[in-house]
Amino acid sequence: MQKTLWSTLLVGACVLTAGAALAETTLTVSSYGGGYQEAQDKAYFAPFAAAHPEITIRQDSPSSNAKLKAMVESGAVDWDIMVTDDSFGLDSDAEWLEPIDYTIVNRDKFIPGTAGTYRIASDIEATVLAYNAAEFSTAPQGYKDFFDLEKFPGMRAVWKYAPSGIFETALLADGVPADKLYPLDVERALKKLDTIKDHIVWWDTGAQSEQLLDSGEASMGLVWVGRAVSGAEQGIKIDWTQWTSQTGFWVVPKGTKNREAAMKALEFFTEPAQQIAFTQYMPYGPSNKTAVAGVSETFKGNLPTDHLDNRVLMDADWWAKNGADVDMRFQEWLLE
Amino acid sequence: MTLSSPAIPRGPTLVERLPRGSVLLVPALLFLLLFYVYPLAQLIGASLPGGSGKNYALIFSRPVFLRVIAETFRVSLVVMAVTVLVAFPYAYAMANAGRRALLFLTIALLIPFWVSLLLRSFSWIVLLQNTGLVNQVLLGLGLIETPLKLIRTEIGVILGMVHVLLPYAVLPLYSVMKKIDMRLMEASSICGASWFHGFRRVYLPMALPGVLAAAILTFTLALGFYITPALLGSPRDMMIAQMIAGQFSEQLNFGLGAALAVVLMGLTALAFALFGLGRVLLARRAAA
Amino acid sequence: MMTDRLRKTLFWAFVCATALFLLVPTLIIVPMSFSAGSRLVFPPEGVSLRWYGKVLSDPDWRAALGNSLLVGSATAVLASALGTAAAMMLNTASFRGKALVLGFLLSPMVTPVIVFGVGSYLVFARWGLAGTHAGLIAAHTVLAIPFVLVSVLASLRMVNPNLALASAGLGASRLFTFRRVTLPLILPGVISGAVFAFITSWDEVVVAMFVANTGTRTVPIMIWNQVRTSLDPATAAVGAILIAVSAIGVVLSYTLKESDR
Repeated sequence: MQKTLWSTLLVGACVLTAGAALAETTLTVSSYGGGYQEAQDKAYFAPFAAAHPEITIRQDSPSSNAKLKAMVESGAVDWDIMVTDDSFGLDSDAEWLEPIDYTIVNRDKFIPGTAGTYRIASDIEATVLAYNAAEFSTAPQGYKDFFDLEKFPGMRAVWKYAPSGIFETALLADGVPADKLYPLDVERALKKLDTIKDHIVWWDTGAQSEQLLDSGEASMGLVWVGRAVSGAEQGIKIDWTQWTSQTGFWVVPKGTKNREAAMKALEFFTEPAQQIAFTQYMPYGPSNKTAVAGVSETFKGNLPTDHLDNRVLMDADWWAKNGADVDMRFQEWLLE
Repeated sequence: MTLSSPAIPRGPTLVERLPRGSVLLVPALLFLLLFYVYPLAQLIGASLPGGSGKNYALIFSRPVFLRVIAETFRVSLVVMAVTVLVAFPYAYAMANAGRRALLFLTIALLIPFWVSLLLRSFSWIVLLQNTGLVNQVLLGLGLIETPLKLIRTEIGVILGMVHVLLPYAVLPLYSVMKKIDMRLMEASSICGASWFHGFRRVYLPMALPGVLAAAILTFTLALGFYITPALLGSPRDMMIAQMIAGQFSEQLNFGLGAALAVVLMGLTALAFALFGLGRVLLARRAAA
Repeated sequence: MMTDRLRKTLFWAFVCATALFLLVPTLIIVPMSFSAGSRLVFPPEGVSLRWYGKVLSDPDWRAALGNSLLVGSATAVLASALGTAAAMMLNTASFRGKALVLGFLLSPMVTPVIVFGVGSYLVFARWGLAGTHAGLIAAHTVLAIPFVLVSVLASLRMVNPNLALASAGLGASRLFTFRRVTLPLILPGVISGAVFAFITSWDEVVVAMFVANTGTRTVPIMIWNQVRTSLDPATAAVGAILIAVSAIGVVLSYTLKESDR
């Protein structure tokens, strides 16, 4: 009887692993989940898998710079590609990342400044002030209104992430001119944030921010433009008076077993056809020079590139140098 | 079968007087030493990098850590009190119910016991969100005009934790209560004592060991909660377990995370020691 | 002065409310998993099996279900073997420090899982067990041993020790006695211990969070990621599947116990 038990278990284990053995390589890609990742699946992952039957793409979410670092540190790297934000993938992050192999990836196709030693841009994004139109009689305009609880009551959805633009937003609302933002006055920003702290509901993932606005739990939020647009049916509108620009970057963790396949995939993901397809599903701009002319008309008026005059540029270099200290202070402030 | 296996991880006195069949215990003990004691010991080692106590110094000097520890204690105490107060009548009902009522109460108690804590926290999110069932009912009854904010608040955390811990409090209470002879209560009422007086003077002292066991079990388990406060609380309701997880998966400060884990282990052990003391004191009083 | 009847009514109302409090949040995801709409609301918007279809056709969820079944079954087998052996010994022997040994074997029940999880994380990376099924099985077995021990000890207490003595007196070897006399008698206890061990692993998320990786992630890990990224009825569907499997296990073990009496 014991023998049968063991053989049953063994057979079960074989069946489970057999599926994975069929494809030669499995690339694990981590992204931010929700509609963003679904769009990537449709525009990037599925076409890539169709073009390369020997490679399977497995998806994970949410992306986390810390989790990637922990994987590299413990030597158990099981992501091959990750989508990240501006704060990560700089030259100072060399210990965590594989350099982009520009013999496989064509560096010349990128918009200047979006292809670095360790990262290449996937799309140009924006963090915008989105609001539930049903909640207010007049539309909020700019960051000052975001901090105005009297005129615009209700909860604010904000990303619980120091380099999310929240410090810049607070300082601009407090009257700091856009060209004098850096170096950031962290304490002044936190003092300004204290005025709405009880009305902030923090989100960790893009899908959460969408949920908060759609369900009415938050009346306003600083969210990624893709999330705001997909809430349009529920009456979510975007105020483009002020917005911070962000970039989505592809990075490859150091020590991945599939470095070459990962580079091949990145080259494929950033080709014009794929990037143009992506703009059908998400209101983000492409990073490929040739793709810019062909972006889909679906989101006209809500593309970050339609509002370049109001953009607040974040200083990635300042954040690379000061990010860790600011984050420590931010974590403490959250608990105060 | 030899009994003098050198692998027995106990002191020599035990090895000398090894009881029959000890070899049966060896696999389980070895397994736990390797996969349970060793990892915990490594944690202590990691919390003292190069023998330095700087991580502990940091914990006990930075207000942010002390605040989280104090908060963990406070929430655990509140949860313990609520759980025991709700569990007491429930266990009393079980101990004095007929067959069918007992069956129903037992099933109602054991179903949540076997459904994962993660799923139950998920359900609470669905129930407590602004468009959730609780707010719908309250709005429908006209009791409130705007939805109450229930998730990402301390109320959410406490509800979720009490829900998880209730069976742990009811079971020890029930096992004590079902042995209490209800004729003593009847006797006290025949003697003219009011119900409340009889309850307080006769029933409660006999149920006290159960109350104590329920209280300590819920309190120590509450100290280590992670999933429920992470999903139902706000950043300000952070408990020590979340901070440990954060140090390991977000801040990547393993030494500090390990030190916090050791502090949590210590607090749990301390709570259990207090329980032991309480039991001894109770037994003494009963003997006197 | 409160009358007896009023007090009794209030008392039972409170007890019934408590029972509802226990049951509603536990079971509410089952009806919601059959929703036809895409929002998680109660009452659900229409009835359909679309979310079950979505989950069962998604390769990631299927891989996670496979991982959970594999890790859960292996944990059940390993924990029952280790736990039953230890229970056999603890049941018959009496020695100094027995309470200590028992307390030690049961202590994983009350050790905060987060502490055990990060400890395993530290050690497993060095042992090459990080992200492996074996590592997850080992860690879950630690958590499951107490359940097997409690369950088997309870069964053993009801077995007449003279039966084993008689068997030995008739010249049977100890192994033979165990297989032919003791084991059949305590089998319901062993099986319910194994079921508890399986469910412990099946529902466990905190340790798995630190030990599993994308390739070995279990269903609870997928749910955890899902809950934090979006709330949709697919999660409720997975939850209902989890509950169904646990329920089958629990009913199975209770039926065995009852038929044993």
